[in-house]
Amino acid sequence: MDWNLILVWAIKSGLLFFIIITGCAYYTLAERKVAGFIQDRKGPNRAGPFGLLQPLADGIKFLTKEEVFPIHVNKVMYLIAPAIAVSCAIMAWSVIPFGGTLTLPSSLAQVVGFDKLDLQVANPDTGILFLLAISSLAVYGVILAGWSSNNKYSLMGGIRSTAQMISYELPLGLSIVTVILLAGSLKLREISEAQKGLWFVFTLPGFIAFCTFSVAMFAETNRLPFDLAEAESELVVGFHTEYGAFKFALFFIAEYMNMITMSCVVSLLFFGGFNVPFGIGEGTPYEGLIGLGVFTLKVLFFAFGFMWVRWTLPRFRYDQLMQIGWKKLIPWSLVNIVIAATYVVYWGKYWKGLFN
Amino acid sequence: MDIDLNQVSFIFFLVFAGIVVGASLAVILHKNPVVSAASLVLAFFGLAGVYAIMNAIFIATMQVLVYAGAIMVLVIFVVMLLSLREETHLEIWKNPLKQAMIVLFVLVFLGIIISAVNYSSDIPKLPPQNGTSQPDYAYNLGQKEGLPLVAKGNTATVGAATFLEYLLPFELVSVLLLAAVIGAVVIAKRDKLRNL
Repeated sequence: MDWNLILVWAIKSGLLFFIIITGCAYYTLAERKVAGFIQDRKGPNRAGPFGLLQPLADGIKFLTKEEVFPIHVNKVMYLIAPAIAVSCAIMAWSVIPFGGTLTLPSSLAQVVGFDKLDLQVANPDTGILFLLAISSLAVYGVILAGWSSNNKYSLMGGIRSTAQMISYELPLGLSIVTVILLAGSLKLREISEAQKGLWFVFTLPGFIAFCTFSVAMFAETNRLPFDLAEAESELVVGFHTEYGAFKFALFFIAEYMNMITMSCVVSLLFFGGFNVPFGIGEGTPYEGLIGLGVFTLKVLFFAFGFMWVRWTLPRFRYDQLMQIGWKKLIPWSLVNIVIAATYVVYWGKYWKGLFN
Repeated sequence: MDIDLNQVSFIFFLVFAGIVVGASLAVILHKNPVVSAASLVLAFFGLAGVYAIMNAIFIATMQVLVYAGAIMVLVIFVVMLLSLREETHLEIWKNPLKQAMIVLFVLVFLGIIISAVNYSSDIPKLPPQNGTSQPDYAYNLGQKEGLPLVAKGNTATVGAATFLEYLLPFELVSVLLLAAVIGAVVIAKRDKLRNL
């Protein structure tokens, strides 16, 4: 193990962190702009040209606000909860491949000592399982925030959110099992490469898995139409009622990070990840860069989808939420696993033959 | 310049082992049950870190996914709904007999640990691995059409061992779990079943 490899890891992690934070900041601006567009108004347009400096203004506002500690809270847990939420959101990014392998130009390769650069911080053997594990930890941020606030609305929000996340982790996991069956690997990079030629969403089991996954995805990120943990009109924003200033900002950032993570995961699992359609630019030295660009476009599309859905669909009732989760999604995903198994063994090759 | 990976992993072991020990102490010593449960999550997390140092990435991920992610969420869920006022009193320290029992128990336990550490120094140490962060785990599946079949990688090795070599114990465990689930449903719904 050499110092230059460790240095590259450190640079990759640092750069990734910077990109996520900036991405989240502009995601909030995009959300408000899209909300404005859908509701036929302008959205934020005062700070800088087209309101492009709005995230900066928001950040400064959050940082300079007074830090308020309500006297009735459990201090330690009250402070740890937002930290858990945000660190889980960041950790999930360590296994996401943003593109294939970059070939470094020879002048740079001589300095760093190698010429292939993976656009991924870590590639553990358990790739997608690691993501699931981290996203299952994220629920602690919400539970502990709700409990430590010592406020009945917050506790209610926390309990709702816990029940919701536990229920929807099952269909989420089961639809990922389908993808694992189709790809034959847990590593996100190999799942993405297995879709060369035919994206999983264009196969029958892949399509059903995409439908269940995308519903579960909205529930896991606590977004509308499943944002019952917050529900402004009934719970006064639920688990983060008692949070202000930067502690609230951390929850906010975590939510937007989770949305970007889920957009990455859905484009990796079902839409070919960093594979370029029709093999454009394959074999050229720019293959890695084109892959990165295509992946970014796919992620941006799904990130837009999150906002689109939020401003289009009304919130579900709590019993409807549980019914969709347990009575619809889980049976569908279970049946889908059987379909996927028959697809892999019997009729997959004929279906693939139609497209190639 | 090269870095000795064994040195690095030893430092990380100390960090994670420290987290496990500290969090476990917090589990039993803290007055507040929710804090205890949260510390238990931290202990599981540290244990996953120790597994990861031993290159058992699959087991480490499962530790986080199943214990920290699924089981402890339910535990905290239940603890959160309990009324906290009565639970936070530490009645046990008021009884001198119980105090003496606890001190005795701790002393015996510490004695066992110290003697185990002393004896275990005779056990031969494993030869250090050659500076790779991920040695290739492999499981030999036998032969197919004259070619050796090998499951490579951490997850594949665990899967092959579970579903080929230990298939019967695995199925027995799953039947046991199914029985436990049915038993839980029967106990929970006993009154309703009687009324039918």
